[in-house]
Amino acid sequence: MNLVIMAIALLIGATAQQVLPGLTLLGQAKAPIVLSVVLYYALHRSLALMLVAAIAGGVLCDSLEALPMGYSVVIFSMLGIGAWFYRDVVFSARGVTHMVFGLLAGLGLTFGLYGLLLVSEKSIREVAWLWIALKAIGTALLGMILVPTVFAVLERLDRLTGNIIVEPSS
Amino acid sequence: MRRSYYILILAGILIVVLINLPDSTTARMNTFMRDAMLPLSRPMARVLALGHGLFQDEPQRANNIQLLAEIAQLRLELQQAQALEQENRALRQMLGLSAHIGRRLIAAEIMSRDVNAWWQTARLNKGMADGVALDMAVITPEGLAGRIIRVSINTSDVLFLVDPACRIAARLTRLDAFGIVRGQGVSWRGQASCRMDFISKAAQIMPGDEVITSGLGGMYPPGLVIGRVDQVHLDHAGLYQSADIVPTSNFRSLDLVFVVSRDANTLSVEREAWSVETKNEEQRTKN
Repeated sequence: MNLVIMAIALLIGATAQQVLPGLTLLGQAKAPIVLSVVLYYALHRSLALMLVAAIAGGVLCDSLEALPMGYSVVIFSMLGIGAWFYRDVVFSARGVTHMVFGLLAGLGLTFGLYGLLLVSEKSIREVAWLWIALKAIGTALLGMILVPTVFAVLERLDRLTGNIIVEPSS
Repeated sequence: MRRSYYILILAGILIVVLINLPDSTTARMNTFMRDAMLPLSRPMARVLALGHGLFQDEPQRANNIQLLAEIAQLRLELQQAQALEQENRALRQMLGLSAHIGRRLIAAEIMSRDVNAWWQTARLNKGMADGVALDMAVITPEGLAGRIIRVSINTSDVLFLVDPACRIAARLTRLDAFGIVRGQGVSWRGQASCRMDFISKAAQIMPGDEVITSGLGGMYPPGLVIGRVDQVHLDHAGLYQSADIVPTSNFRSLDLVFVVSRDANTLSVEREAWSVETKNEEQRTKN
């Protein structure tokens, strides 16, 4: 059932992420919905399940978007592993912790993709730094809002389907 | 802990394989995924567009699309006729050049904009099944919008001319001076811009001068309006002039675009089951 919920969340998340327009004032930042799903599995499930979410979500994003195959997979996996290692860190309250993870992951997503694209895409080198900074701030802010929301929805879904057991980190 | 290492190593191998997949396999995967996700993404795009067309009924919308298609078609005809007229004058009415070949326009709606926000792109609801192919020019009633960079069976991606990866052979209409137009992206205020490089130093460029496609290279039909000159500079080496261009198409509010087919048919705009030509014919019959 875990995999079914994950598949549904990733499919809906990736489609919504693709269809939702970017915000000009925030450097065309897109809502990091798939990343939020990966973070949910990093903080609540085993490493293996998180990596399945990261790889499947990354392949979905790279196929639907114009990114070279594997780039989102690398970033999602790295951010997921990072979150998985620090999943016991708690900032004052549960909601705040999720928001901090969302914020950091949003920053990591933008700068990580920018770093990978710099190597392979010439046209990206002409993008202004201010634009990248705006985009990173935008993605971080959206991550901060989306991560607790996606977590709440997935927790509810997991509760409804009986996937409520939080697996210990091995 | 050892199990975690094995999992990480396995994931690492999978990622390396994914990154090194051959281009043909990646393209096939992308096409399959996009078409498979269409039943999910199309209703989502419709829901988003609902807000846009909340106060517009369906017949009115269809009528608007038809009118826009007619405008785009007439402007394309006019622009190409003007370009040809100039050519004709310059070449002293050489035979053969006056034979104007029309192009079929494929009307397509924009499903999503800025697909990943790293490039200035949008996804269209028409693909190979509708006759869209790679590198076809995409226009709006205002002028050139970009070109097709990816096609699946039912969708295609357009790279807007404001993207730094987009390069177009262009000409200044008034001066007959040539150059290359390159996208400059969108500013944080949402203002799109391009730059025309390699313009002869002898050309007396003025702000407001019209820039059109030259047709060199064969990718874009000649005579399509790209934009107007905003500012003129001399390049670093002092050998050529460069001009900042403001594109005529408004990329932020595009809903409908037209893909210029390579078919040398009589001009007709295809959308679902109708064409402008048929509609005009019906109108004439009624009158």
